[in-house]
Amino acid sequence: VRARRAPGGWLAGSLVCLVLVVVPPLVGSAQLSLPTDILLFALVAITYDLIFGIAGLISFGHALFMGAGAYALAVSLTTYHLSLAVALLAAGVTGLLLALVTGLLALRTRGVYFAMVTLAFAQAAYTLAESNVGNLTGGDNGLLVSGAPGWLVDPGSEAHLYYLVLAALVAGYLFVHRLVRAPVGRVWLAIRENEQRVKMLGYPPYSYKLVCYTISGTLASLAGGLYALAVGDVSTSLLTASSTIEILLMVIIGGSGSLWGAAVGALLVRSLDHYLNVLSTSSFVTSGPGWLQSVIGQPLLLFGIIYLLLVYFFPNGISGLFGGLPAGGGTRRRPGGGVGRRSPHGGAPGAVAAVPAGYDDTSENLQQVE
Amino acid sequence: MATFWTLTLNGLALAAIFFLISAGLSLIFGLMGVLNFAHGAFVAWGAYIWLAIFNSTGNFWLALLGAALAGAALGAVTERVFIRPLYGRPQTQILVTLGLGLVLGQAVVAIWGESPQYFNAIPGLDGTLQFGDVYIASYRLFVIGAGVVVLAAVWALLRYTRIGLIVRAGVENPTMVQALGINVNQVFLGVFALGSALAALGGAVYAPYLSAATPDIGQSTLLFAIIVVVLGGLGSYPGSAIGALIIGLAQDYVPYYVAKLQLLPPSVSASAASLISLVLLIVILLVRREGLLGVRVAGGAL
Repeated sequence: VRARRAPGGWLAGSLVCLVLVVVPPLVGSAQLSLPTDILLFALVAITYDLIFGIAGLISFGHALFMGAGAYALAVSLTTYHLSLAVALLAAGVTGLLLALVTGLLALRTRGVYFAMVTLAFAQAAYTLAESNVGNLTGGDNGLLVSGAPGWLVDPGSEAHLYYLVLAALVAGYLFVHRLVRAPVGRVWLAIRENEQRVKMLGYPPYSYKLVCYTISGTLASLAGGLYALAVGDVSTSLLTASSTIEILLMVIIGGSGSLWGAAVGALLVRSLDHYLNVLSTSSFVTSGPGWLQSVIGQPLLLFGIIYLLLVYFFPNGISGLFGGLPAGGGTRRRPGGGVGRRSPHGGAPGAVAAVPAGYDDTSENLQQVE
Repeated sequence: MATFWTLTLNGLALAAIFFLISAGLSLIFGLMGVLNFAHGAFVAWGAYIWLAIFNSTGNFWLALLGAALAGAALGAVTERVFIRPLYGRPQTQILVTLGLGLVLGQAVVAIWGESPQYFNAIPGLDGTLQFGDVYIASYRLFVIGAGVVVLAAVWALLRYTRIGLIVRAGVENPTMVQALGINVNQVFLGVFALGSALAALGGAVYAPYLSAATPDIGQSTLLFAIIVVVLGGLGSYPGSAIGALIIGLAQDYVPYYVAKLQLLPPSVSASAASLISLVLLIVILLVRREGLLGVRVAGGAL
């Protein structure tokens, strides 16, 4: 999202909200689980876009926050019988603390190191949850969420949950959108473009990145808490690398750096996931050859292939098709300097994932800060 | 004392496996600046190809060779198709290798299924050896031996051959190597194939160690490989050996002594094995983020 004022933005946004508000009466409360799921993942995708698309940090551990929030809510509600508000608060605080601590450590590194370290944190959380640390996580079996108020989870009250999630998504979207256009957001965009220059201009990149990472982690944990509430159980699969890739896929489909793109990406990925699962149990597939069943029943394989093709051929995603400047982390730009593109060491020495300086609007971004 | 030696030998076996898996990852990064997030999937493919060959022929050594060759082929194709066109676009490279890891990992599930695959006992390596009071499965002793042999062989390759000279020079200064008229692309391809072969070999050796092959073997080893290379220093060959040694031994000592001395409450102590690697990772990031033997490059990736 660039600072360009989109005059139609508010209008389009209100229209989309209006459509989303009338979804429950239109589809009926029995069919609301997919729309709720999509809205939740849209929120998660937006939080990931904040660190990946806006600040240019490639984190491979975003599943950590969503999973931690889900576990925090489940433990608070089920094990400690706390109220829903306190449980949601617990999910948010868990995310805040986790993001702060892992961010303090991981942000000491950059580029590929950062990707590695965040992946390691998420994987460590996964193995800890699997081993049922402190008898909190239920290990392999996961946790069932019980003790949620009836007006949200009883049969027939699906619409209430839907509206709660919709409210969270709208609030989250507006919050992140506001942040990105605020001075702090300009600095994040500038860090994505050229961290060295940001530093020279007197903005400490480490602190700015930490704030971004922490906000993103906190919001993702809140979304994770709502997810646990909506699904009714939590399992370790939430914490896996494939879970991170699915979020990454949403952002890449939508076009990194575009918040509405991330939401559209979530819509596409979750719908595909849902309908592929439906398809895999249909008679057409179950009577077919075994490999077909295993391919369609495991949408991850298909997602991986789609993801690869997109990263390779359409790095700017859907929002890139709508004429905006390439907002993604510079995936299409060639680095300046070096000994030709065959050399991995071209460009800034060792700046493995730092965005190359071929196209640079750092100063433009920062002028708008002042 | 017998317990200590048993733990040590087991830890060394684990270290040997971690070394096989992380050495390739580190070597590839050192030369090409590419961190291959699909490395874990290569490990899984190695394990399953070993299993397929071993179950059909019954020949353990042939199966090891087959797994290593398959890993080399997989690595060569990956470098040629996915990595090479993307030099100069490091961000895309990272994203692509992560996706490739997912696809190759899911392909394992699609072909061999989700449930663990078992195999027959390995002739000659399925017994237990006794040294005084110390008992050790002979397979684990073989794993230690295999780790040492590979460590020495790759070291000799790097140290004494012309190819090794080019690789070492390439790590130092690829531009200069290219300017001297050496086809760096071929060297890159070769090193990528070698690193992937080591990963596949690691998987092939690991499966019998776990007495089954499971699809998540790649995911779980990738975590250890990452911690090992961060600990030892990314791009440093001796670093990955030392990192593997530390992680392997810690994985064995810590859970045992934590439980024995009751250092942690019982509900946490079962997770000590996973916790210790995490703690080591955090400590190294705080104290020396370039790793034990890594070199801090000015303005570099750190």
